[in-house]
Amino acid sequence: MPTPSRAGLAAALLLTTAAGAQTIALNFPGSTVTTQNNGPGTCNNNLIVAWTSTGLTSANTCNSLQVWVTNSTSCSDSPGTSGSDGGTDVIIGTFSLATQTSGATPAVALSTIPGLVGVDCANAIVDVKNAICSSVQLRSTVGGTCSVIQATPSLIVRYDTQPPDPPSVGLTPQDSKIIVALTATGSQASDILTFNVDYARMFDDGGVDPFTTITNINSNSGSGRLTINNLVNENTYLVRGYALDEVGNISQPSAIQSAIPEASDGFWATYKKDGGEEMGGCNAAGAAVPSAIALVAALVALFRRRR
Amino acid sequence: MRRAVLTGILLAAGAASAQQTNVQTAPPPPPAPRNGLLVELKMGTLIPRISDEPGLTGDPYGEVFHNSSMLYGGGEIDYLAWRGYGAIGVGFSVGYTEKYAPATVVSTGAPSSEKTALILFPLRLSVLYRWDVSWSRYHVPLVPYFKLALLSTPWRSTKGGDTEVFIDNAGNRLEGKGLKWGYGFTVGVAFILDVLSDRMAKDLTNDTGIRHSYIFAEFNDDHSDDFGKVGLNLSARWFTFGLGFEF
Repeated sequence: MPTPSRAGLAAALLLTTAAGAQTIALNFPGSTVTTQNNGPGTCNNNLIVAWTSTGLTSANTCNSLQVWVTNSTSCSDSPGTSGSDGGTDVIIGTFSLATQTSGATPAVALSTIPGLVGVDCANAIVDVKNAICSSVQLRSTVGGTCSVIQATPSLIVRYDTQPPDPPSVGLTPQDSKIIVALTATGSQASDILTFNVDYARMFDDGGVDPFTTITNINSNSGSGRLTINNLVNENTYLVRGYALDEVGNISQPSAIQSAIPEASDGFWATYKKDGGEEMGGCNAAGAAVPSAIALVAALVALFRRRR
Repeated sequence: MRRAVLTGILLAAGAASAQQTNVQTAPPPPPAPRNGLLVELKMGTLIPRISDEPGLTGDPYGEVFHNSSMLYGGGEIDYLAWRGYGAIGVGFSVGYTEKYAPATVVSTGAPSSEKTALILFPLRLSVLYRWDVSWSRYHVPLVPYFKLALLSTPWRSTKGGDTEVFIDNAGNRLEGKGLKWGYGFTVGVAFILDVLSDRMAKDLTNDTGIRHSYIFAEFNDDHSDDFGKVGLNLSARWFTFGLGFEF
């Protein structure tokens, strides 16, 4: 076989072998998250994206690998820097697969990503979500046409200074305590990670104690629950809540709700008020263990004696 | 002709020998073991006789739980230590029962959003007699039995999920939990399920070692009042039902 034909065959074989395994993966260095959240105070932070290719070389690609930030949450085949999508995508790296199969983009300031350019991002109220994309043109056969391979999954960089809406607050007064039910509301409800609650006692003359704040109440699917203990029964308490999103943006306070804890009797108090002589106090759970052990020990002793 | 007769005799002798061999290889029925182990799962409902306490001015269980029964679930292991005319053994059982209801708002008497509960962990050490010759000897599938038990019942009253505390007139904090001792009697009858399918019973024995299975119903007369001491009375007269296995 002539040498050129052999080389062509080898190249074709190489392309064919690698045909099913060409990928591009993106990640934020040192992290496994696919969405990088940024909020107030991080406006001047830098964005860096790492990429890794598999099965891609200069022999089976038609151009350099590009990494770019879009002006939307989805990726197209190539960066739209002058075309149909507004031309605001920002290319943050171009890499030759002849010299490297992985790498990282140079650091770019968050303030330069689409949606933040020209905005006083330290003070503006914005919620920008941009996809970070990567692609390269793949030639799967020698002399064949080029087709696009995109990174999967794409990453999202978010810059959010938009406070969420205040939560709705429901109060259930009980004996010396109030149960507070918090529910995230509004379009950013799914971003809520925690709640804060303020409460204060109100007096008959209208005066109010300073508010006490309880922070970091976990949100579970947009709902949080808190028990405020050690309250004075038959006194009015004012309660308001705040929602905090994924980057700590805090909402305005909710409307103030009020509740009056009321003394209640359970079985034990009812029994004692009916004149019960029992004094209680023995640790029932603790007592169960030794008494069970004593009974079992007696049982074992009987067995052994029998044998 | 003689050869034919001789052949016939030999064949007959061979057949007779074969029959004799078959009889000898049939396994004899296993002797009844002297000991046995019973494992039972049981459930029932009970209402503690709290209002039996002398000096009470009301019926606290009725006021809070409206005399609704507590649901009981538990298990028991019995060791049959002797078999003769029936079986004598000892047993240990553990159980759990609880009752929840709304607490009562003091100022209005209305139901509170807070729940209160009475929770019991009944433990009992029993001595028992089972008249199981009704089945083993007479093949009547009903086995009556009797138990005498030492009772130990840790209890707890909760409100809002925590142990309830009562502040008495002297300012003492009295916690709603404790331990009650007592004694109890049980009479019951077990229905031996083997009678329903001898084949399944044998398969069960061969596969799992369970010699008999049975369902049972029993009446319990429990005296959980620290042997007559005045205080919270957790005595009850109640029925339990369940499923048992003899190994």
